[in-house]
Amino acid sequence: MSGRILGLAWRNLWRNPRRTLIAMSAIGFGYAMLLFVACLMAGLRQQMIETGTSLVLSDIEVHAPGYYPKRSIHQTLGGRQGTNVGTLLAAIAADPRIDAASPRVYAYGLVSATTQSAGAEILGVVPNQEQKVTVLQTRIVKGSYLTERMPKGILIGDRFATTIGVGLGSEIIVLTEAADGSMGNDLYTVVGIFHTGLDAIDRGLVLMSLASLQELLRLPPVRIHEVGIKLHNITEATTVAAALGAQLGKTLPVRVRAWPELVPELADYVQFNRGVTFILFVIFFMLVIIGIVNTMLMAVIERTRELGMLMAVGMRPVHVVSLILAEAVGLAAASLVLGGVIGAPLLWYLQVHGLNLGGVGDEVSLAGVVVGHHWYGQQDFSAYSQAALGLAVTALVSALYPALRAARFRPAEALRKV
Amino acid sequence: MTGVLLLVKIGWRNLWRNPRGTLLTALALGLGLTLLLISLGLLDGSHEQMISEGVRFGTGHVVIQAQGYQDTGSQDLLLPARVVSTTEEFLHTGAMKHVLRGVSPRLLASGLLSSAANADGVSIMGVIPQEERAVSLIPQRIVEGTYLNDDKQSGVVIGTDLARKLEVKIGAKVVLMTQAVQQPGTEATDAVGGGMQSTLLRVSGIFRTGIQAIDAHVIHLPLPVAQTLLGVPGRVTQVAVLLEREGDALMVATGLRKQLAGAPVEVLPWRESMPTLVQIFWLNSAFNYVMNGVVLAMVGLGILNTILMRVLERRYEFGLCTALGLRPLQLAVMIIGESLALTAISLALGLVLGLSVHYFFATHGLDMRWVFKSDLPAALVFDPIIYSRLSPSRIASSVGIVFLTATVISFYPALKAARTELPGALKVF
Repeated sequence: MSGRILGLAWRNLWRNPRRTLIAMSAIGFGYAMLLFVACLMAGLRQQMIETGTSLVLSDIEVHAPGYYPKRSIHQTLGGRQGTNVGTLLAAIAADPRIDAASPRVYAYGLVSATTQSAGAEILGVVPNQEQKVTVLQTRIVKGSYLTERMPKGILIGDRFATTIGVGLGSEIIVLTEAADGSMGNDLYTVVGIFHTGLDAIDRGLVLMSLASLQELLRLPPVRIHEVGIKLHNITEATTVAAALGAQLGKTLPVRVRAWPELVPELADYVQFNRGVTFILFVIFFMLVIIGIVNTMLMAVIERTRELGMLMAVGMRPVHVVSLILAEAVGLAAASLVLGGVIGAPLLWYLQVHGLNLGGVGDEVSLAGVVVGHHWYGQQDFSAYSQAALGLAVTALVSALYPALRAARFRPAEALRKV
Repeated sequence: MTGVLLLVKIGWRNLWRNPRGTLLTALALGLGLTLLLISLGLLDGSHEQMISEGVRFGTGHVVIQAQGYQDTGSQDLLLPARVVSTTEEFLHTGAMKHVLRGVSPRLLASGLLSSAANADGVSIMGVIPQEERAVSLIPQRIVEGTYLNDDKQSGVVIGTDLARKLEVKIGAKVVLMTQAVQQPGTEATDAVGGGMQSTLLRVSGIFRTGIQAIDAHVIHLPLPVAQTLLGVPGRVTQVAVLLEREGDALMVATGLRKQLAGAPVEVLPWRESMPTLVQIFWLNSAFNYVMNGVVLAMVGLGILNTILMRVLERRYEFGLCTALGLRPLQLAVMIIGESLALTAISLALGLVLGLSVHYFFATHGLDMRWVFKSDLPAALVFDPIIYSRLSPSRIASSVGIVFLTATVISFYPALKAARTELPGALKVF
């Protein structure tokens, strides 16, 4: 019986192709718009997370317990004895979900040029390894990234360079408190200047090689503060961090944090973005619902006589209800396919070319997010399928009223109508 | 002429032959307008909120500072004392008084703030607490302790990130160190000019704005303390002006420029003093354009769907009218008249519904805090409660768009009906 009702419903839809096509285009277009917005919003989230984590932070960070966020230079991994960095990196890299790992040392110090000086965070990295984890090297505007050949080279932000009045090749003095309590200071040469668009980094971060910073801080090579980790898939950050914490915790006291814990404000923005997407979805859904309800209602009212005839020849009310519901589901399914067909090229375009915002000037940064002149989309298949499912359920629910109304037709009266 | 009136009358009667169907259709059309109004209101509201809050984390709508400060940020550039008094006098005169919300003189410098545990570079902002409250949002974003007040002369307010870094709590002692201002013309040899100065302060409040650059670097302390520390009694770096409406910024800036002509100062509206905010603003506009476009397209299609559904299925009825002698043109006029009446009812319904929802969101706001899991205030720059905002022109254009779309779309079935072939139309099945 149910198969026959489905067949009947499908044929009914195409007995009046014009009405079905109009409804299909309204619902299908609505679905395409939902796909479009979901893709844009996912792109924005992706861009937020990417720029928030990929410049200096990385997806996951491994610290000694109590080191973060105070960043006291004494709390190195493995305590005062330090740890075998090579073994630690190998243990981390053993996880197949991890793409790369890079050891780091941090300090805070005063950076002086001839006339001006300013405080800055100093980050010590192994240039080859760090470039696999973060992408700061792509933001160099003058000079080049740190190299092994220039152990006394230093990399600074463009705003910091302006603040202390230095350029490429300038010599600067870095003054900081070393691990043994003495004041460490040394002379370095600016080998590169970067611009990320993020004020806090451009204005307050300098990079030098790990060995140079360890020397300045009088830390032996076995003592590092942090390992930055890049994953193949950033969405796994929290799970990998937990697994890694348990794994490394067996041999070394560590605290492993994924990016949402490291930059809670970024995580909040991502959440907020999801909230806004939800609100927009609710509004779009209601617009689509109106289309479906209206179509189904008209379909039933216009076919009073026809449905009355069916009931007169013995169709039971429950079958009439299922017939109407089946028509609604068929309509929704056909519309979703149409929406997918309209939407697919849109989504492809958003991902490949992005939406040209055509703006002026520099890129925009907000809460650690840098957005360029193009707004790229990102495929968010779970949102797409949720929207599809939601629309199908909506179609079913909104056809209920017309269906129940049809079931209450009295055949004799219904047949009299034209 | 009476013919047209009669036809419109018939159209009106047609509507009420099936009141429930008509009301449902009107509701469908009206809901389109309602949703359009709601989404426009929320998008516009969040957009305006963004500017009005954004400027309050920076220099206000208009800022007056020494010539060249914007480019160099040098703490040695101070406003001439008489400029401050001229500015304040000008702003408190009749015409300006109504557009003004607050005026705050500030002394800015950079320094090093140290606690027992740690030290960090900071942006010092010496303020008059009373005035700063009227301009900046930082006093409202205190999460622990209280903002500065005139009683506590050695108080300092810092951000959460800085507090965490320095490991300090409310009441903790901190030392602020900075280089005194080098006044042009004086040598750096005397005790104050150019030397390192320090002062002991107590943390009286901790704020959280969600902007990392502010939470980790900005500190507020009473203006006299800052002036003494920097060795410049009575002097300030800038005067920040907050207005009632953003739209007045250019007017006020122009007025001030005229008033201060000749003095070595720069008067900048927020679009010039905060280029980053302008970009965020522009990004948000772009987002709004895209979303408005999507909503409009969907509302348009919904109208198309609704009207076509209503009219295209009435071939039998139209055929009957033609058989009774109604000419095609008359039939078309009747259908258009009916559509217009339907649209009018829908617009009224939609307006009432849309404006009521808008009113609710405008007064109570759309609270977005539910998206955050933690109980802590979210680290958002902007208020997570969105207040709807609709200008009369927005309402008018929304109504206009829905009306136009509905009318234009109703021409198609009207023309179609006018060409209905009689024998075909009168067939029942």
